[in-house]
Amino acid sequence: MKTSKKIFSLILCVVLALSNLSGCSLFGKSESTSSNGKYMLIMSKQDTFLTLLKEEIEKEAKNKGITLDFVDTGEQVIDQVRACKKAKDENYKAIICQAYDADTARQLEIAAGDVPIVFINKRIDEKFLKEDKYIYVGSRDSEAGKMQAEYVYEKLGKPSEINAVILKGSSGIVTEYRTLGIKQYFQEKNVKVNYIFEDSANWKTDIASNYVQIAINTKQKIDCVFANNDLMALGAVEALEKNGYDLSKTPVTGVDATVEACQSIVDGKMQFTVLQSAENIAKDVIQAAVIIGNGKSIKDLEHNSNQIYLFVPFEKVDKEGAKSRIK
Amino acid sequence: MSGEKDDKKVVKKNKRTKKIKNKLLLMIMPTVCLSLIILVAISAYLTNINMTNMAVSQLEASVDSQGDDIESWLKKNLEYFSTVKKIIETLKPDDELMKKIIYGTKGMNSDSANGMYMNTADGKVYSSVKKVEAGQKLKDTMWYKEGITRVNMGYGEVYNNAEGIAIISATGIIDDGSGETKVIGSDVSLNKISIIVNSKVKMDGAYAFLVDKETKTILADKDNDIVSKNLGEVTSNKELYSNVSKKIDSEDYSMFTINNQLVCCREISGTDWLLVSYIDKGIILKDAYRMMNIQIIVGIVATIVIIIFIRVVVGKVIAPISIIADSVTKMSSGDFTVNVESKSNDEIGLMSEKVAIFIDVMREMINNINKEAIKLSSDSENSSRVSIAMNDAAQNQAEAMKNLNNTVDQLAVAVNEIAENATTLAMVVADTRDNSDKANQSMKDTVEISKNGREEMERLNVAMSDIKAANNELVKSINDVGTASEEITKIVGFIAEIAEETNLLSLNASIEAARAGEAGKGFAVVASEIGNLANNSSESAENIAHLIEKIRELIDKVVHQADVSAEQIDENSKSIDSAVKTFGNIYENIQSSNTMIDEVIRNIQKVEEVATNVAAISEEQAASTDEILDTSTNMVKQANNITESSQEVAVNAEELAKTSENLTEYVNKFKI
Repeated sequence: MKTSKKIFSLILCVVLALSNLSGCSLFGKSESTSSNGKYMLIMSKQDTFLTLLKEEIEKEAKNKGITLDFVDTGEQVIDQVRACKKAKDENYKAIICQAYDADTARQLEIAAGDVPIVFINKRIDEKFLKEDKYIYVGSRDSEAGKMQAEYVYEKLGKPSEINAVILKGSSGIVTEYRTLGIKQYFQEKNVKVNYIFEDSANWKTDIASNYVQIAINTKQKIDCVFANNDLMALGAVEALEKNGYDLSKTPVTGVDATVEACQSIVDGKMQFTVLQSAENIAKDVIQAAVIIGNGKSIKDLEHNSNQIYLFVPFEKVDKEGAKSRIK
Repeated sequence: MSGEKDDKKVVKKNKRTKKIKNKLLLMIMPTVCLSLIILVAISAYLTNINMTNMAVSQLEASVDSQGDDIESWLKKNLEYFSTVKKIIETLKPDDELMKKIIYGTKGMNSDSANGMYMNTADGKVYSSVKKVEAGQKLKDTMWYKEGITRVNMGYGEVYNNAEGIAIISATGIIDDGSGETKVIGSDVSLNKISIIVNSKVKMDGAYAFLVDKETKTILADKDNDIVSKNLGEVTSNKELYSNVSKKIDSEDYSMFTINNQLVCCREISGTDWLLVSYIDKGIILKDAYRMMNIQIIVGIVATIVIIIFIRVVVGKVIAPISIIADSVTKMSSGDFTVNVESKSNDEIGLMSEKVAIFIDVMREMINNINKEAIKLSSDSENSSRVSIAMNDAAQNQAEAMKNLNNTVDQLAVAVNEIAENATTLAMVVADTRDNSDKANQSMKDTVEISKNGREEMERLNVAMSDIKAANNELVKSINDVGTASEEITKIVGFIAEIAEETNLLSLNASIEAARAGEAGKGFAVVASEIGNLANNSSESAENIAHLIEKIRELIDKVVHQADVSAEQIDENSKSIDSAVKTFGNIYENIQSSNTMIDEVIRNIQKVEEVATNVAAISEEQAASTDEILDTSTNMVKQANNITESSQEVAVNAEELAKTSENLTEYVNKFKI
């Protein structure tokens, strides 16, 4: 009698404990069963690359037959937070987000609740990423820098000393790694590089143009210009041209392989760029969104790195490549 | 003799009683000690880990906080300088205004006491402090070189100013669209940085230092002597600094342990600096150790207390037990005349009570056992007898069974033989039947043939009769021929007579002819011719008479032959008759044979049936005998079993008898 009472009370306790735990939803995602099956795309700013990326993402979403709602939040963090909250309230399966400010990632994650987020374009610090829940799809920015440096090195005939200008994007991981890629390449090749001008032109053509002009004004020797993106590269081209530089001898390289950049290369102005394949990124983005939106893991995807990144490889775009891209 | 024994036992007993106390202590002590040690060890270990983790977190937080402080301080100043720069870029002041602005910055920022300064590429200087040494060119100064690499102001490398103070310069190109290269800058001393690095460590016992990753120069350290030295040149706490150097090379800034020190790193963004904070593990673990010590002391004290406590309690508890032990000792030697009193109402009291009950029970039991032992003895004797009888009976049974087996064997053999024979018979019968069937068939054929034969015979008979008739006819005909020939003879006779007469006539005629002379010559010729004719006729008549004689002879022969034939025919007819009769007999015989053979066949069939039955039955018999054999073999086995069992029983009975003897012996030992 005593023992049966004991057993009974023990069972009761266990049942209570378990029901408590399940109430705390420690057991898996119940959200996925009640989701509305839709995905949300949040973008904060548009430039040529980002417009292209958006189109590719929407095209890919259509191909895969998923409903993608687009939200343009502009440059307001609060709007982005609101959009994430909406995604949570209406049980979206996943959010694809181009954060305006990479530091707000934590805020966005909190607002989104359990809805997983695929970050794009604005690279988020690793400490805000989480395996199969908050991931970043993009490219290894250091790879872009490396490709630029490699091109210039070859183009200038493998010199042992180079005077370079680096036009950086706004402060952030993308800028850091693209710049680091350039510097690391030259370090490996034991090239002495004088970075005669290295400053942030905030991804903008006009600022880049102005800065390159200023750099030219300092009367230092310029052998090449590296820009963290094509817009700034075009600005550099403008400034160099104005001052009579031979662009084939002073190569300007960019990143993004936008249409204007490719045209510039074909025209013999810009010499090289790196393609961030919006198409390939979009494919990976949608694939990842669907996977983590269904609670699965991206670990088996080709471009997976530690289940928090999908690094889509860059592609070199020189004159030949630029020609084929414009077609 | 027994008294001595008792004494020995008492002594032993005392020893034993004492031993319980010690035993308990000996058993409990190690367990208690061990558990305490394990507890202490586990908690110490966990504490160690926890404290280390906490320390790491704290250290990281501290270094982060310091890093943030440094960064924000740097940023603050940079922004201040950038603001002034922005103002200049917007205002595009002329020379006077420029001077005012620049000199106006002096003393405004406590971190940059000398204010800002600006030098242009074409030699204009706006500065409260000398930024270009004598004999030095502007474009060779580090700050200028750094400045022309950027528009947005940024910090450069650490260097010593004219007063030998370590400073860094924030520099940048003024972007006023003038096309001139103007570099504005401002210096901040590392003093504040040093304070942050050395005094603002947010963890007790931790220290920090700042190092430039590019040059590996130490920018701030609690030991002022090593500031501006290279990482490799440090002598005290060498491993730490050299390890940091390695980490810089591998760009791995994660937490590590070296020389029993926890080390955390933090890069300062906007610069090439690395902030390194470290704490001696000993300090962290100091608390852990202290707690461990306390636990150990408490453990030891607890152990001692437990020992004393156990001794006292056990002693108290054991006391009543020794009394019980006495009684039990007496009982063990068979003396159930003892009495045990129960005083307390705990387990021991209970034990005393129960021991008393036990003694009563034992007494009664021994009595009963005694009685039972006696009964047992007689029972075992009975058992023995019975088992012997059983054994005999079983053996007899076994014998009988064996005999039965033999008989059955023989029976089986006989039956098998019968079966074989029956089978053979059946085979033979089958053969016979085949043969008789064939015979039957032959018989039937023969019947047919004989029937045909008889018919033939009859036809033959008829034919014979016909022949006879024909023969008779022939005879008759021949006789007719005979008669006819007789007639002929008669006729011939007449002819002969005629011929004679003719002859006579002819003679007469000749005579007359002669008489008639010449007229009669013709007649004479005719007469002679007639006379010849008559002679011919008479010759012919003689011939005919001869022929007829011959014919008569022939006829006689023929008649004779015909008679012979007739006789033969008669004989043949008789033969045929007898043949017919014989055939008739054969036919009848065959018929009767046929019927007999049919009967034989039927009988053979019967025999066959019987034989088959016999075969079947004898097989059954064989099977049955096999069964009987099995059964009897079984029974033999059973009988053997019984024999064995009864032998066992006999043995058991013997043992039982022995046991009861022993029992009686033992029981007699007890005093009740």
